[in-house]
Amino acid sequence: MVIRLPEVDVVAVGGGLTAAILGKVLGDAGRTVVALERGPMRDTVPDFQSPSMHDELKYSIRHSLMQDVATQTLTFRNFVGQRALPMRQLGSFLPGDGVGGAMVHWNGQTWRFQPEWFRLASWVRERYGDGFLAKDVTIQDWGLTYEELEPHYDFFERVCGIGGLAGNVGGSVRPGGNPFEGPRSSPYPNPPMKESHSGALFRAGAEELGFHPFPVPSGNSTTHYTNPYGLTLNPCMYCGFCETYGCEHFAKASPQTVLIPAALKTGRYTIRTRAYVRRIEHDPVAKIATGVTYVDARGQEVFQPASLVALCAFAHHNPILLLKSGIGEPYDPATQKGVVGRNYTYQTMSSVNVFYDGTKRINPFMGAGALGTAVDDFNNGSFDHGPHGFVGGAYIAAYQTTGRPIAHHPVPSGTPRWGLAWKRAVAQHYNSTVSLTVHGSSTPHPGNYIGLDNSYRDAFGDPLGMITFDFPYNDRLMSNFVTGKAQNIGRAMGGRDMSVSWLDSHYAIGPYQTTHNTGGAIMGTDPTTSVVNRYLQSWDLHNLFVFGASAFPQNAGYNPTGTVGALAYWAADAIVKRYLPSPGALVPT
Amino acid sequence: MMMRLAAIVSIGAVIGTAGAVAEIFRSDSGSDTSLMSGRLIALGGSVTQAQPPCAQCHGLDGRGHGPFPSLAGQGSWYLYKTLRDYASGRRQSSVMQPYARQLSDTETQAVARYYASLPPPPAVEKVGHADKRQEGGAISAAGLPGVGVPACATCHGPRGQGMPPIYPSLAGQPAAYLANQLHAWKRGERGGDPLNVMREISRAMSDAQIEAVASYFASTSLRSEAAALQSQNTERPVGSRAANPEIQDAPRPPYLTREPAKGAAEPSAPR
Repeated sequence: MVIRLPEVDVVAVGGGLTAAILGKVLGDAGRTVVALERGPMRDTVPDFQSPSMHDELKYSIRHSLMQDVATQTLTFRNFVGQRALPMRQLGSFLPGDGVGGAMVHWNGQTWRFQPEWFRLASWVRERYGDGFLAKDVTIQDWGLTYEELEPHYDFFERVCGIGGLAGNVGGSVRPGGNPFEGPRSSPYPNPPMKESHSGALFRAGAEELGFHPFPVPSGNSTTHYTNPYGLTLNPCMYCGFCETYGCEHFAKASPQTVLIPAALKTGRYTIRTRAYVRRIEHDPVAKIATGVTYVDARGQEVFQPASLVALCAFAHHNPILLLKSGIGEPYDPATQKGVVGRNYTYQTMSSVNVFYDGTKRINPFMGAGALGTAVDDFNNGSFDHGPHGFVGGAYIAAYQTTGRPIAHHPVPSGTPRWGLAWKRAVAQHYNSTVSLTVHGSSTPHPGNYIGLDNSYRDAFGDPLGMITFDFPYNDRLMSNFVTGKAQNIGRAMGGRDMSVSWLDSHYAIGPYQTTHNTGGAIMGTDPTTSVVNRYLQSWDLHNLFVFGASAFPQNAGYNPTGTVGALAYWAADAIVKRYLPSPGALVPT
Repeated sequence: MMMRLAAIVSIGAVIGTAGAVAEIFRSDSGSDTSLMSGRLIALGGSVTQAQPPCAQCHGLDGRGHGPFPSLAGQGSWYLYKTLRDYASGRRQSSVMQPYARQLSDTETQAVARYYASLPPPPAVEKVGHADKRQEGGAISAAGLPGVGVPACATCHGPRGQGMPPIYPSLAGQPAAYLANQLHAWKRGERGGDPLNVMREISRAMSDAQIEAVASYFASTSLRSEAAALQSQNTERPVGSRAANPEIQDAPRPPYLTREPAKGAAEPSAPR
């Protein structure tokens, strides 16, 4: 017997960042919003309190703030034809669980995508000609421009109190900032973080080579800051416990600190925890979503009717829900037809370690998630791809995020993996090593997609989602090119030794890389190649909106949160101003 | 955390004996001379300038009273920085500034190191009403989330034990001193805090809440913390060792010594 609840205006699947934005914006517009969160309630007090929060084993190794893969997981394979196996432990990426979602345990690195990225296919054609890329680089235009999104980037940065040094305000390039960023309407609301010693060494090396170092834009607040909703952030204490942790200092922008209290204050936003959504219900004749069915904390199946359904779950979860609900045409890699699950992309990561062998004291434990110095000279819009034959790029950064004892023990290549020699090497290099991150873009490939796997079932008896992914040739070329540049910077930094972690030949789901899964329910201009239109509105059901990074047609060489937040404000704005006054398709087909 | 506690235990355990001085300097990479010259400044005035010794206000044992803070067992870098802040005027005090200015950098380091090496004050008395201390303890553990005050413990450690080098110990500080500092921050008269964290915190607190946390921290002790750890490590029943704040003669916990603990298994031969 399914419990049927009274209808609400909006039901959001997920209780993280995008649901909180929707709750605030639509709550202000007089609409009731119910967010269904699969995990528990979490808040700064009592859940993120020190000293228990600084428990590396509990939070980083055992993933206490993350999705429980015993309840629901995915299967994975590298290519079509390989047998997909279930992900029984978290590894490559760490979807959040509980109120606040992955934005509780993020680092705070808050980037904007370069303008070229939003019309990548057109840009490549105009700049490099028709035959520049192989046919299997299935990049697309987003259907909206950087200029349209800019006010929402700006507002999201003010909500989060981002600290940084603007490199381009209104088209005029500013010293010290990122000269390759798109024009900003205003500078960052807060000054940048203090530069770490590793950042200063990186800066010197990068400048020597003529590059343009700048502080990474940070969601770890640098001042006492009051955001446009009247919510306050405290300055970051550089404790080195951001990624995989909640912040006890009220210093990291998270839904708990910068959004949820304001959304709840509207009186129309409700977060229902321990609510595991199984499917979106829809009426194929009327072409509308009617609500969602979820399993509540007591194991009861509940139907929540709503006039508008918003998918605000983690990136790959949105397309999986669409597939399980039978909404939209599933992507088929054999015919390359269909849209749901198409253009699943990720992030192409590599790194360089510079070993100073005791001659520098880095103090890596004095860190913060977004404490870093970066160069953007090799991101997509910064250089000429002409001689290289690939598209995309990466930023290179020296991050000083942590010196936590389990995670942080850099040793030169060739060091034994265990025993006395390893221990000696750890002691020698722990405090004297700088790590450079190459944060690369990810272009789509027809073989990379999200589907369903009926061989395995989750705790509710539903099929698991299935990811098929490997690094495309285009991205390997890109990664090797930019990693080579990072290697040059590493050399210029004057260490005694250096090791380079080039991109692995195949993607593996075991080792942690990034929680930047993107695509699968992509936005675009054409219903035959995208799931949602430029307002994140489903082409099939006009009252269904799909938020989050699942909308990215391809992933840029940046962290996605800034763009996820800006897109959510853009879409929420369209819902309030355009959709609600006259419900229907916002883009004619 | 364990390292910090270990340091407290080691200081508490060895101070007052002839071996103590050498022990501290081995761990602090200082020199015997600097500890002795720090002691001379603390108890007898500056080596180079004739001036009243620190002990005149802060007590022979460095434990302070009333408006004078306890320096004993405080983090050495924090003490050093505080003296430099007084000297530069970043932290205002017409009393402390002249002293701080007369000390050379080496002397400042020496006196800071000396006080850091002293055993911290014991929890000798419960300050204020139990309800007040309870309220203060709750603020210490959970903050005042409604007004954005983080828990004191997030920086100053559980029960105010401090997190060296930056965050001072609050445990066993005189209640009047603690309340004075919070009020000075509230009025904008207290420097030495580049991010103004304590200013914002104190402004969000009522006078009654300030009194509560001051009473709470005045009633806690680094020593009882150390003693509690000691009792855990020696597996004594709670109440014997933990109830006794005098831990000078206590054996060092096993992880501070190179010998295996009593009863520990012999290392087995490789198989």
